[in-house]
Amino acid sequence: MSRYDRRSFLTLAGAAGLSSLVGGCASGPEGRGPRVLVVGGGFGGATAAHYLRRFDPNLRVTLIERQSSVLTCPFSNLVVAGLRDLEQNRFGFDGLRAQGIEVIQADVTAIDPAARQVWLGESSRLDYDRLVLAPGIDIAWDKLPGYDSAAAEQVPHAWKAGPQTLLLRRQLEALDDGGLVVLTIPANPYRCPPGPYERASLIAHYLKTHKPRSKLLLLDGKDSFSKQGLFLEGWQALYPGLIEWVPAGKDGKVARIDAATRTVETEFGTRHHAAVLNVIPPQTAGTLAIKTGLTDASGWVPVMPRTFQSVKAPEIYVIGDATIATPQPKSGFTANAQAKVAAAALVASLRGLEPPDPLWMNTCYSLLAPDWAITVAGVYRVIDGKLAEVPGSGGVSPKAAPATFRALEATYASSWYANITQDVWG
Amino acid sequence: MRHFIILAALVGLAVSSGSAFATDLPAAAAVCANCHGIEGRREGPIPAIAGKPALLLASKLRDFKANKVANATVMPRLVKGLTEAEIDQVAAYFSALR
Repeated sequence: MSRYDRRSFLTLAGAAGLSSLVGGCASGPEGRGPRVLVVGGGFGGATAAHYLRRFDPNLRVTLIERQSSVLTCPFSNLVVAGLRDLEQNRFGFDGLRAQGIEVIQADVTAIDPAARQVWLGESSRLDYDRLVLAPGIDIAWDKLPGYDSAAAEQVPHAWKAGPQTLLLRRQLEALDDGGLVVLTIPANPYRCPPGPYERASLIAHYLKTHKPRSKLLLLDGKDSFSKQGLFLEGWQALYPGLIEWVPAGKDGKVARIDAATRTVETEFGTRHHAAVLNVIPPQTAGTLAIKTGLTDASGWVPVMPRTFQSVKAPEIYVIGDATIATPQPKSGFTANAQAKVAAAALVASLRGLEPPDPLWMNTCYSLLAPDWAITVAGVYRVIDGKLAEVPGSGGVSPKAAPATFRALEATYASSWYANITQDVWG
Repeated sequence: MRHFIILAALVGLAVSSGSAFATDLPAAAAVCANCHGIEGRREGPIPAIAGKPALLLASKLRDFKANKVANATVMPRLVKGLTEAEIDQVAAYFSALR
């Protein structure tokens, strides 16, 4: 046990029984051990709270989330395409409460790493021995000219599930048959690398079914993308002639948005006028990570590979989409895997022990149609001090597989969604 | 705790005197719940794995790794990232669950 850890342990033992909520009132979490706060109740944060209690039932674990329930981004593209109700993607926190985790609905206004305190609103503070921060992403509103939060009310991003998802859905429903849909896709990195292409697929499914004269134009800030061969193969089979993908090298990079006229201007001055325009904008780590000083010049959070402790504030473990964890993708599956590794490392640190050897996995399912899915899988370890894919593992679904294989992966996609959401929210 | 003791006996995990923190949940088994449900107990198109014989689980994982399972999807790609020892740990962990 390091001196620092021992001190915090003793301080905590001395303070046992005192409520650590300053200026507020709460019954507090179950347990008598160190106080761990988890900020953010999405895939990463909720998994961390769950597994901290599994790894050490004595920990007092408090999860702080702005909303009373969360809507998942995975499976939200089905909502956009009219194939699923948004409410089917909603998860509350009663499952975590049943495990003795305290869940507080509040807005975290600041984190003070030196004092090891989290501020709720302007007057309440919570002390912590360790903090897990899972702030997700925020839209980088200053990066794409013409696209700000007001513009997003007319031209949705729908890259955070909720009202934006429904706005895009309604616009597609109101589209005249024959109207052009334009989807803009940012350069890397962003949340869910194959997500834009799944969205394109499912919008195409809706158009083919309901607006067969319409077309979908994809303007991309990149020249290649996740599972590209499998997406292009699937689009050819399912939606021939419906989707046009314009890579960065062929003037796909977006320079400006005019929300009032739903016009996209590209890097080289081409103007595309859309009947429905969906802008997936550039992103950063969640604002709280930036305000706390945990991000670097890239706008994302550097972490220690073995434990996902913040490089800048080691008592804070940062997980999920906010982190720089290449080659791990920004996905809900990855956030869940990172949360388990961080929770085990955090418990080890409180006991003054070395963290266990970490292992992460990821599988990203993408639906091209309700009965057609493809996957990319990865296994990751720390190799030579860096996060790396395990050689010989991972990869994508086979090309030219029969329709039965694509349908099998679609069945597994639904099963995966049901099971991971249970693993995360209980 | 029961699982912990069973597992410690089965795979010889360091418990309290080791230099690394050991839970009853090996890192290689923690990720399984993502698809197979909490403690691998969720029965569905993706099957439950809790409580099945360790030898059966280990041999199935090795068959995945060797591409010997018909109609396999992601499992061969994932298991290729596990060591032989981890395959045995995963099998022991899930078989010890009742």
